[in-house]
Amino acid sequence: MRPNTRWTPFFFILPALFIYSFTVLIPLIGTIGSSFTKWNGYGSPELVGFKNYIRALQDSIFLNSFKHVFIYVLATILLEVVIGLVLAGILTSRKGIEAYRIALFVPVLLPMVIVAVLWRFIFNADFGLLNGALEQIGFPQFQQIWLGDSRFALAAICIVSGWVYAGFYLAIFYAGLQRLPREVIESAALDGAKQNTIFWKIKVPMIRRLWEVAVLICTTGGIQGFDLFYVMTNGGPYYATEVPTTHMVRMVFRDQEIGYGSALAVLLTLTVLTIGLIYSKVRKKSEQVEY
Amino acid sequence: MAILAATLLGVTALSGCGGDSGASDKIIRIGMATPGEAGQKVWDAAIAKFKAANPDWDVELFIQDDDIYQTVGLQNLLTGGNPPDAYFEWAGARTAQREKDGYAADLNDLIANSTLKDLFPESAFNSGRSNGKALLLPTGSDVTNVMWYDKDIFGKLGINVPTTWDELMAACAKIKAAKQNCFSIGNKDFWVAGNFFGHLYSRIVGEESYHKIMTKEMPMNSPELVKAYGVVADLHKNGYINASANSIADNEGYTLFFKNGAAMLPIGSWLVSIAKEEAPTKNIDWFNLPAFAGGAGDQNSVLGVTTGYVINAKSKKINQVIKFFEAFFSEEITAAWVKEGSAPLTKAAASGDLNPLQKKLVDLMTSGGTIVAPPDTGYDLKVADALNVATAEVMGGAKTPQQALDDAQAKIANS
Repeated sequence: MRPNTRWTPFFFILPALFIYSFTVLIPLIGTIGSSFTKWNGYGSPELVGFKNYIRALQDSIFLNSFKHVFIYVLATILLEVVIGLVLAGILTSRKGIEAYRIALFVPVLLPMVIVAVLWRFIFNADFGLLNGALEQIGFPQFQQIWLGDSRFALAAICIVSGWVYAGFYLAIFYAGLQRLPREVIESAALDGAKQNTIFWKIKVPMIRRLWEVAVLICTTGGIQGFDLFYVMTNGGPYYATEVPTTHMVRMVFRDQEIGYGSALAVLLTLTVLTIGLIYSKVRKKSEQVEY
Repeated sequence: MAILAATLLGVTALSGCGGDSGASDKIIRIGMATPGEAGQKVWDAAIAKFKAANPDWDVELFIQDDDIYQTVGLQNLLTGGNPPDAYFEWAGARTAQREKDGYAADLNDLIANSTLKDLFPESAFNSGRSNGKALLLPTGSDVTNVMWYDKDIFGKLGINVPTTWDELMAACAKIKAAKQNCFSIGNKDFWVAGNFFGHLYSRIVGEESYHKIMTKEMPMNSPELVKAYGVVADLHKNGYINASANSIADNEGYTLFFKNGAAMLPIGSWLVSIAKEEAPTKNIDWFNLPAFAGGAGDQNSVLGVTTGYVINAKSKKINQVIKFFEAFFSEEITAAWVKEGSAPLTKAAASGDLNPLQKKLVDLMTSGGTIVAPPDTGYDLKVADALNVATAEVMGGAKTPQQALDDAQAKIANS
């Protein structure tokens, strides 16, 4: 059936366009606009050109926050994606351990703020579970101020993130591994390949698309990480766990620097988009058969 | 998240010009930090009293975590949809800023034309005034830093209440020798140590210099402040502060103290009601910050601030809000506040049966010592933040006083 007029299709997309404009497009343009102003959220914004961007590039806390977030991303690729992959491999190779799949997925269902609060109790240096356990098993010398020492705070957050999301990636990889053709695996086994070799040399390459997407989600999601950092350390101690999002929130909501915070948001958005685009390009170059 | 963040910022930006509390419903909205379990009961009683006299009206409380409310929360409430008709505030720079931004109504006439004028002594409104306008309906005068101590630990170790900083350090040496933390500080959000040491800095450099530093008339890395920070560095060096200080929140600091994890807790008057709820059998008392020999400031000064409720100038229900506060400050509800452990500033409270610890705190506020404004509620947040972060860095041994204050000064200069 042909539309009555050439405008008909546009009428159909109008509601979606309307919602998209008001929830994403206009605020996004507003953010870009206010990034060129000095504004505290009240009164009239003052146009300052690229001053906010220049300031951002000289802001050592903001620049260091990228260093922290990239460490976090690398750690979470290992703790979430790699461990999720290994766990999925273990769960698909053994019978009767499905309950573990559910158990490992449960943390994903918990709200991140609750997770952060729970782990704050675990890492509490004075009456937390971890230091208490170290004391009980005879290793008090290993007790630390986990969230108050810049050597450990970021690592502690990475561990919590891994605890939560390893189950998420496990679920993705588990589904992918289940779909692999059995004859390929059986042929390899008949040729004498061990489980370990079958997993790393055959199964993992065959689900390449999945782990490539997982790494992309982990990377872009990690750069935008906020809730764990905000609740567990709020960027502390002494900005040792400050990430771009916590710094941005502090600037906008605490210091009421809407203009500067907007510039930080734009820079963060550009970073995520750039990484996403580069990643897509690299992936396209190495297209493989998917199963 | 980045796009979401940008979107949220955009929404904030777009709503920034809004914040018009013009809803035509019959609901009074009040923004506040968490009042605690006992405080909530008094609020419920006040709302019930108001509703009994105004059956068509309702009261809705926007309650937020203390730190969130002070930093992010109130700002968002005021600029978002359905902003509060009244909200909790700290007297001083914050209230004046609200007035400047158009979010604080001038209460002079409203008080004069209501029973509020009879419920309060006239002087009660003074600390909430700005440019002659009464902006705050005061709920209390908080001493924001005194030294709470465990009387049992002090008794066991034969420690008398210190009157000088040197005596306090001698007490700490004894406490440390007994394998106890001297101070419990929950400084994750910076303001706890900020208040404690902010008071100490004012004692050492003098109130005038402290004020000049906080208002950027003097640089933060002034030699006198660097010297004052040396005292904090010494506390770190001697191991008198709980090692977890910068990783635990204020309430975790209280818990550490309540669970005998430290002999002293530098915090404000609100501990009276918290201790009543969480550690009713704990044998505690407090003393004001001891005198610092050779300090340039008033050695009897008090770190304090008046708190209360501001009525949103954009509210279209101001008269009804006043009616609510007439109920809120009535003799009946005042008695409930006193019973809860608070010290309201109404006339009825003055003749009421205050908790002895609370009464002592009220006496301290009126003792004649210079009232020093806390960094975070008395001054610009960015300056307070720079000072408090520097304090945390020195307290945690991450930087020397000079490094920390040079960085703080650079931060202020760049903002």
